[in-house]
Amino acid sequence: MADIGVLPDEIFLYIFHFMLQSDIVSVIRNVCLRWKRLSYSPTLWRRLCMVDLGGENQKIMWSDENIETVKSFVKSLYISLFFNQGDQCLDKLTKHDFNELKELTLRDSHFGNSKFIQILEFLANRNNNLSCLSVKFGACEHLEKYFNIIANLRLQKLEINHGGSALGLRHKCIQCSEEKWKNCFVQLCGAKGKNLHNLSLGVNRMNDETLSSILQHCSNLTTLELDKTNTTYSCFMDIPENTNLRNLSLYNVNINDDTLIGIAQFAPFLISFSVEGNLGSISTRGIQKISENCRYLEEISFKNDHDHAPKLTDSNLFTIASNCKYLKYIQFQSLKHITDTGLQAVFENCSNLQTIIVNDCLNITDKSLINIGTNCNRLKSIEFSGHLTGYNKMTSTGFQHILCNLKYLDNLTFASLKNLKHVRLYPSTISVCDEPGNLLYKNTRMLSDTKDHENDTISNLEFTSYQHQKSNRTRRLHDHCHLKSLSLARCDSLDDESILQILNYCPDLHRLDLFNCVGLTLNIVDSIFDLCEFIPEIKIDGRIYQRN
Amino acid sequence: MNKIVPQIKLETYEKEVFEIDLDIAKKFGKLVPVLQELLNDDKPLTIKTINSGTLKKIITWCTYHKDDPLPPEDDDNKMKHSTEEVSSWDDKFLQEDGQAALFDLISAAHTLDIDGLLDVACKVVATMIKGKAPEEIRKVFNIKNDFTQQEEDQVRKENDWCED
Repeated sequence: MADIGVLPDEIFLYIFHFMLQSDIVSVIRNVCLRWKRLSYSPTLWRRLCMVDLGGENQKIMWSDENIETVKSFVKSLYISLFFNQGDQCLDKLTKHDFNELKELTLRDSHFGNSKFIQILEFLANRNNNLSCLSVKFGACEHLEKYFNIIANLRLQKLEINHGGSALGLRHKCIQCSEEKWKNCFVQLCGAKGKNLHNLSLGVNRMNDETLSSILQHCSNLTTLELDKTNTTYSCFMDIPENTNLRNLSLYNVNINDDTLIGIAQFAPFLISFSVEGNLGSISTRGIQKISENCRYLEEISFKNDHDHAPKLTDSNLFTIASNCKYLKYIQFQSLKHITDTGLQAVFENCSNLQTIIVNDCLNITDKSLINIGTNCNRLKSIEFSGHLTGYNKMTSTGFQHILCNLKYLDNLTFASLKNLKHVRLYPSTISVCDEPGNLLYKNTRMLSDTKDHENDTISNLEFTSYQHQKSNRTRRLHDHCHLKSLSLARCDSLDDESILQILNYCPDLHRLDLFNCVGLTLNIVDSIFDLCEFIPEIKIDGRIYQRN
Repeated sequence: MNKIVPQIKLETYEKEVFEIDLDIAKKFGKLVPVLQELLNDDKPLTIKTINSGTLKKIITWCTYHKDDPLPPEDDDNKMKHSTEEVSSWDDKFLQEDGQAALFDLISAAHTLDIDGLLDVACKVVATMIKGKAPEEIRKVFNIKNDFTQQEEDQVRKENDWCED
C-alpha cells in the first residue's frame, strides 16, 4: 500500500505551495521531521511568490526563526502600527536584511514616529530595492522633515493618505502648512523625482501652486491620484503637456469645464480618467474637449455627488460615444438627465466595452438593458445600482434579456431594482429536460414576448445549429450562462421562484448576494447550495449563511 | 468514420501492455519525443513503477481532459492557483479509490510528466491537509511523529513569540 511517504520531496514542495504561508509555519512544520525540513526549503518559499507576513498568524510569521527563512523572498510588507506588534515588526525590519523588499505599506502610522524615520533611513542607506511606499491613515504632522529621506529612496510609487475626516484625523494635519507641503514636494521632485511613476495623495493641505510644481517636476508620472486636496485644479492650463500620464483620478473634487479643458491639453494620452465629487459645473464644453483630445481613453468614470445637480445630458454621451472608440470601462453615477438614448449611443459605438456601471441614473429603463444585450457581447461586468431611491423602470424583461444574451458575463449587480419580479427563464410548463430541442426551445422562448406562446415549434434550422454545437464536454457552455458573481441586493419584489429560475440557469456562480431582498424566504437557502455547487456562502435576509 | 490513429504501447508493472492514442499521450510532457520515436517500434515501453490500475486511471483522465487549453506559460499566473479551482469531476475522480491510489497516481503523473494531472492531484492533497492540526494530519496520512520531546517543546516556545 502506498502511503504519503512514498512521494518525493519535490512533490511535497508542490503540495505545500498550495497552502497558506502561516499554515506552513505553524502546522506543516510540526508534523514530522521530514515535513519540518521541507518547510524551510527556499524552493518552496520562492514558489509562494508573494510572502505575506500579515494575517491571523502574524506572530508566528514574524518570529525570528521564520524571518530567517523567508526574508530573502519577501517582496511586499504590510504593517499596521495600530497594534503593539506593529512596533515590534518595525524593529525587526531594521534588524533583518529584507533585500528583496519592493513594497512597504504602513497603516495607521505616524510620520512623527521615530521608528518610522529610522526605517526610512535604514532603507535609504541600504541602497534597497524598495520602489513602492504607502503610508495609509497616518498623521502627517512632521511630514516635511522626512521628505528629504523619502526623496533618497528613488521611489517609483508613493502613496500618502492621511485618512481624512472620516477617521477624525483631519485636525492632525493642520500643522503641515501649505508652504511646508510645497517644500516637501520640491524635495521629492528634484532630480530623483524622475523615478516617480505613480503618485497618490490624499492630503487636504495642498494648493494649486504645489500641484503645479509636482506636475512640472515629475514628468515621468504615468498615474496620478488626488483626493481631498484644496486645489481648484486650475493649474493644468498653464503647464507643458505630459505625454506619459495614462491614469488620472480626482476624488472629492469641485471642478468645471475649464479644468477638463486644461486636463485635455495637459494629458492627451490618458487611458483612464475618473472624477468624483461635485460635477455640477461640468457641461458640453469640457466634455467636448476631453473626448476630442483624449481619443485613446479606455476608462471613464463620472461620479457625481447626489446632492449636486449635474448638467450632463444625452448629447454629452453622444459626444463621448462618437470620439472615444476604445472605451472598455464606463461608470456614471447620479447623472439624472441621462436616458436610454444617450447610453444607446455609447453601447452601439463602443464595441470594446467590458464593464458598464450606471448607478443612480433614474431615467434608465429596460430599453438600456435590451440594448446592452444586443450590442455589447464582450461585456464582463454590469452594474446598475439604485443606492438612493432604487431603480423603478427596470424589470424582469430587461434582466432576462441580459442573462440570456450575454453568456460570458462574469459579474452582474442589480441592486435596488424595485420592480424586478417574476423572473421566468424557462416556461413553467416544461421542467428541466435534457432533450436538445427543448433546451433550445427554452432559450428562444425567453426572448420572445411571454404572451404569445401558442405555437412553439422549433424550426429545423435552429435544431441543427444546436446539434452542431453539441458535444458532451461543451454542452454546458451553450446551455447556461457563465456568470460568476450575482448581486440582487435590496430587490424587494423578488420571490423564491424567480431566484430558483435564475440559479438554475447560472450553475457556475461563486458569489451570490441577496442581502435584504424582503420578498424571499429562508426556505431557498438549501436549494441554492444544491443548485450552485461553487457558492460557499449566501448573503440573505441581513445575514450570511455558510454552506452546511 | 474510422481513421487510423497512431498508438503507442506502454507496459506496466504487471507486464500488461496498453495501447494509447498518440493524441492522448501528448499530455505526457517530456516523454512525448521519446514516445514518438517508439511509434514505429513494436516493442512496448516498459514503465515498472506504474501499475495497471493507475495507468488505466491516467488514460481516463487524459481522455477526459484531452481538449483542455494549454495552461498559461506566465509564471505569475501559475503561482496564483488556489485549491478552489479543482472541478467536481476531478475531485471525485481523484478521491474515489482512496488515498493509496491517489499517491500512486501522483507518483505516476510525476514519472510521465503530466503537469495538469499532477497539479489537480496535489491540490486535492493540499485540501486534505488544510484546516487540520498536526496531530490530525499524522492520523489521516498515517505519519509517525518522530520529534523528540525536546524538539516539541522547542516548537512550542517558538510559536509563543510576543504572546501578551
